[in-house]
Amino acid sequence: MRRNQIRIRDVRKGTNVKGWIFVVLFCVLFCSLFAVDVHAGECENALVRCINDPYWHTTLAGPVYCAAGYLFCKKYVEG
Amino acid sequence: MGVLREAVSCAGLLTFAVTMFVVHFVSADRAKAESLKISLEEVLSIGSLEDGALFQWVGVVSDSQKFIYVTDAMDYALKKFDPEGKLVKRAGGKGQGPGEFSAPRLLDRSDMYLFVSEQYMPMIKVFDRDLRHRFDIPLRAPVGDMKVLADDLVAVAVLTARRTSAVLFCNQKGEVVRGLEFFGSEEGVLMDMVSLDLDVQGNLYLAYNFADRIEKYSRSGEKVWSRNLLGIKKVERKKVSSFIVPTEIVYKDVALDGSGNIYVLGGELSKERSRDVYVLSPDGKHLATFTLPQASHCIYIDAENFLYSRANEGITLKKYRMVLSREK
Repeated sequence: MRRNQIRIRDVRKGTNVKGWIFVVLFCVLFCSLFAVDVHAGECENALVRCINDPYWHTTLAGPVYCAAGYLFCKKYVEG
Repeated sequence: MGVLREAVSCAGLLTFAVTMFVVHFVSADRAKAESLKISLEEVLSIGSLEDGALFQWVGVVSDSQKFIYVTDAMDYALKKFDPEGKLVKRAGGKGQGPGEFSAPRLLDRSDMYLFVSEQYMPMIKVFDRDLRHRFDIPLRAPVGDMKVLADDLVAVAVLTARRTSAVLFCNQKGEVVRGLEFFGSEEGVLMDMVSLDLDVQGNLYLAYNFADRIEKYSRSGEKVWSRNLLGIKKVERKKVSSFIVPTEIVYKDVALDGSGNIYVLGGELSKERSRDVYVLSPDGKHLATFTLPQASHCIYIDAENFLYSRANEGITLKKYRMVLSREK
């Protein structure tokens, strides 16, 4: 009886360890993918903020300046 | 006798043909086997995490006395370093007054002046070698790239919303002396943005930022050649707000050395992103590719063929000696 209980505990321990490994791997994979995605969109996000900025709405050339900022970002920050 | 003579001449012809065949393939093979190799030797490093000499440098240029001038975006400044890399003068400061900066970017020089572009203003600010502000050159649109040709002449690739793009040659008053129109590879916002350089004959070299295309135009505006080095048909585009913009930068910068060879810095589609530099001959032949130690946004080659590039994400400026060798 006692031997059987020990076996069951060992089996459960094994299951827990596998579960934890799975969870940790999933987190690592998910976090790294998310980080890459955020980095890749850094300049696009800045461009959206620039286009929606009320300051640039006052001038016709506003989008051109936003494009200048986007080009700089692509050259300097990303890539 | 006649048959013998014929046989001898046939044998002679055959020997000649075989010899020519062998000579041709041996020489072709040798030409193929010999390739240009460029390696870099660091000779100077300016700025580190400790000294605070540079925070986020953008533009660099050197003069005949080996002083090095740098625009520092995060410090809103134009800085002058001696040949040993010691900071000797700083000018600028945040603002929109004379000699102040809101976003200093590109930098180039003539014999007398230093020219600094502003990202959010359609102008170029001009300083003397002691970093005293002299005057501004007003422009119609913000500067994408520029090359100073003389005290009174600067070539500018401007950012516009037009389909056809142009490199404008402007005087100190900002008047367009002449222009060269070129067509981008595709329609769309930013698709015709270029980095530019000119050689001593006035030939213009363009490296498209968002297309796999490098071009040479003669002084009279005729296209001499066009090259694509990476075999990229189309770059990825994304809808951002109401605009569709390219998201992958193909070429970041172009610079010429003293022999007229063309150096093009690859962007994120290169094998080593923002580190691979492609070297082309003046007639557009791909001579070599070498890799910078760290990613850079630009390359600059001075009159003595030293190459300058970025390190530590803009905190450090590196100066390298380029060592050229033939490799079998």
